[in-house]
Amino acid sequence: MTTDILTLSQDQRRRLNLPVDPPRDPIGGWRSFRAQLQAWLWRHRKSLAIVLPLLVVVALVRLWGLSHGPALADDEGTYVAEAWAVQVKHTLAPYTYWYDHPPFGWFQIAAYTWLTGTFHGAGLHVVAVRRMMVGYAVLDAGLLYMLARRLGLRRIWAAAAIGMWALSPLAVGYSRMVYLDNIALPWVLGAFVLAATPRRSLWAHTAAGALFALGVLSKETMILLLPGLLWLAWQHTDRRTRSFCLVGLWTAGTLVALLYPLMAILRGELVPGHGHVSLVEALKWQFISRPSTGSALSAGTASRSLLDQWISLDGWLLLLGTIGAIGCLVVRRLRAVGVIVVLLVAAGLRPGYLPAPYVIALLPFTALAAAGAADAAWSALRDRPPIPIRRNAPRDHQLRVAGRLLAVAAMISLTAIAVPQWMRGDSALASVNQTAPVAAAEQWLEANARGVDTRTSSVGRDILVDDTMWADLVTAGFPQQRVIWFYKLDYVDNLDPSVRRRIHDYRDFRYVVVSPIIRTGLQQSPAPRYELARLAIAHSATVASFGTGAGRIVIDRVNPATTSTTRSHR
Amino acid sequence: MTFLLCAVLLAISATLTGVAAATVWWMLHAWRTPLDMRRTEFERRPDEPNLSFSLLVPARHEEAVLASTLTRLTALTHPNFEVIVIVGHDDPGTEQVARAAAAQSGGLISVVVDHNRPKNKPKALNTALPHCRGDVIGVFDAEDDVDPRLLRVVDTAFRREDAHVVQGGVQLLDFRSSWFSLRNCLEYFFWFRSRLHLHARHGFIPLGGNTVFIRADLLKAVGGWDEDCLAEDCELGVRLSALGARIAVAYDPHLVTREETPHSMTALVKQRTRWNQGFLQVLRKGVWRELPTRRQRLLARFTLAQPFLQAFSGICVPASIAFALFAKVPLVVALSTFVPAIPTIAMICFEIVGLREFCRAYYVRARFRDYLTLVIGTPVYQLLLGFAALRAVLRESTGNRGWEKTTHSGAHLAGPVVHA
Repeated sequence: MTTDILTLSQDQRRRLNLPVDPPRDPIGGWRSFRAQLQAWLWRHRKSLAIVLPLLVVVALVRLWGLSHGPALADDEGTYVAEAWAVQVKHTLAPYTYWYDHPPFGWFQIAAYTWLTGTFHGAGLHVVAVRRMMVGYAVLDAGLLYMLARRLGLRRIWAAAAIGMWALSPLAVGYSRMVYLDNIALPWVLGAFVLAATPRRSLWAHTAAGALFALGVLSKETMILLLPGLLWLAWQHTDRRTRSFCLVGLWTAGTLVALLYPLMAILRGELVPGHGHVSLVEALKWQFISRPSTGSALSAGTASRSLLDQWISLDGWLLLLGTIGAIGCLVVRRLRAVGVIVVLLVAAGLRPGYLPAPYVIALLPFTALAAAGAADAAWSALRDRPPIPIRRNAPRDHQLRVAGRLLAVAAMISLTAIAVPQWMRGDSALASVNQTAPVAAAEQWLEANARGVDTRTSSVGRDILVDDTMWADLVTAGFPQQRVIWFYKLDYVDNLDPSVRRRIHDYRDFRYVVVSPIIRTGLQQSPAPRYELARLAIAHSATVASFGTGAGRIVIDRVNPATTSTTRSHR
Repeated sequence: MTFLLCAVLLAISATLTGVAAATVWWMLHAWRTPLDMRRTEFERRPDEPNLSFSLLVPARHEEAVLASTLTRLTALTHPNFEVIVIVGHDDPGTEQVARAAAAQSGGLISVVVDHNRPKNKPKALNTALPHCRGDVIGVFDAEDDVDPRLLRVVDTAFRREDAHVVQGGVQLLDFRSSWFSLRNCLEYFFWFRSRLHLHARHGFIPLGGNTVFIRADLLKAVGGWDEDCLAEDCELGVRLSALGARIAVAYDPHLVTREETPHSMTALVKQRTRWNQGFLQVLRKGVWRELPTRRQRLLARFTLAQPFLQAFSGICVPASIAFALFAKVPLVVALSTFVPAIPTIAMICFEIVGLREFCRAYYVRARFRDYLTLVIGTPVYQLLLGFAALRAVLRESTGNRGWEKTTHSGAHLAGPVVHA
């Protein structure tokens, strides 16, 4: 009954005003993709000309003396060891995974080490993974520029934001360390870029929610940026599609984040129970019972010394950012940035536990706040078309010219002061080799500690190290069970019972590698914490020593016969 | 063995996630950006009408609702249209109502008797096709509540968009008449408010069964409706799309044709079985392969197969989760079986927002109970749809192609918009 459509003649088609001979698959997918890419590149040529050289600067400054400094931090070793466990052992951690952080961060490290074959090579694996952080930093800088542009900053100020972040020794030092915060940052910045969608796109908001959740799953403290994200998203929605956009953001974020508790449920470790760790317990510890480091505002606390350390690296970025944030609060388009910086600063100053990498998430936003405030001030000082009727117009014009001159002067002097300081700081980070003692100690152990006599039971066989050496020694061939993380011996404040179950006696140890990390740990945690470590050190004799001063690493050989209880490493 | 199971589970999760994500993506077309929102809105102010319309109303055993429908149709504010009622020769009751209305209408309404047997809607429509004198042929069902301003606006849309086809909006409104009616109403809301626009933009559209307007010359040239198809409306849409016809969607919450939800679960299942079977027939007929671009063909294949994909996921999601839990697969695989739930739950969340928009558009206040019904009813409703999809496949494979018609009680005609 129905006519086969192919039997409609060309004449009929013409009469019916239908396309006469529509081309099948008119434009090739690849060609249209290439054309789009070319159009995009052309449209953004100015930004690309600014950004690409800056990204090179970001990378070069961070690669400059990458293996020298900053000194390896215990957490870096932890994450690398956890990535090793994921890649090699297909478990979430070398010891019991006790929900210290969501594992997505070291999944990414594991992907990197797997792709680059990091664990097949020798040397300091933490340093090898720091190269990945440089890649992430380049990504951060690119995203920061996009965010700045989307917030209406002029190219020059968007570039200034990256420039500050690229050079500040505080940012350089921290952004190349293997901290989960660095891994979370591109996800979070990506979420911010998407949330500031100029088209008010529903999908951008939904994707922003998902990316933010992945950021939080990389490092849970990123949740502190949520109010800022919601604020920004709210500002970048249209009244009529707002409810869909915000629900998209919220739903995608929540559902992706819920994969973490779901994982705990699947492992049967959501709520505390006998004989296993649990997510609830870990969260309780992180947020409630974790020992406070005091307030950074009161002298003598650990938080204060951390703040002092940050400022000694670079106070400018923090100072300019905090001032800029207050300026941002009064400018509508920049308010979200102001909110983020103020919130992070306030949360950092509160009395409680302040982790060293806390500053990582803050820094790009301080750079953005400083540059944003400058951009807004520049706008305010721009000359408007003269209004002849207004009597004050000439005076206003003069005031603005004066303001601009003043601003330029301030800018030049700030640059003249800060940039040389930054360069000095960066060069100091690069020149002092703070990882050499670690490498030397590892080489010594590989040469001398391998032949531990396993037949005589009276001699211990374990090596006590801080986390930074763990992956290096294990990949060098030491049995996994014989290399013990120092902080697992803190039986007071440690949710993972696996080591406690296995080691009861300091005589199980053969060597203790007393590094700055272990020294600080012992200092900050008074006895009876780390009792076994203290006993082992007390009953040992130094057999090798590497480096000098605060960075010195000493290898002690445990000898039960030694009874000196006054030994300590200062 | 475990490896194979893992691979299968991962593949299923990926497929299901893709299907669910695509469904949500398309469902939300109208709200993607404020620009899309504006584009899908429809110019309600009509200009000077200059087309003539023939409105076809096939009626079968619908004496209860036909008279009021015809009265509403004669009240259309358009200078140039005719109404043609098509009744079966074996249905004297309906014919009597139609003839009475025709006698009173002063020539506006005429009656055509369909002598085909067995009878179905496409045959009835084709019977009336030679009698149509208008430039444009429109189709309404016998129970439709048509807005009097509609025709003027459609007239404008034809000329403004240089369209061959204008699809008007249809909306179920009795969203509190049963537990599933809310879901049913929302389905229509998302389809007409949003998804149809996407289809119109990409040049592939499965047309609806009523409030659809087609240029008469084109319709006659392609030989009218396919009489063997259970979804003749969809089939025609696919055929016209393949020809490159330009299709405009005219949706405005105030101008929609109002319909009622099926009055029982059985009726709903029967209706969906018919649609699904019709979609299956259209899919097998393969006219969609003539669509010019790959993207259109993909959209067509996906849209026509959607009821079955939905049924498939209804079975697969719980099955794969159960497998993952009991078969002791690696943690990552077990987690991945939950990933399809992300777009699925997101869809429910978007539907909650949709319910709010729906109630706003029709000046009703959504109650907490309505949201609750939506959330709780969703899994059961999905099961029901899955059952209807399976039933359609079974019927089609056994060659059972009879027309299961939905009966109407006229719930939407009883006065105020919504029943409490």
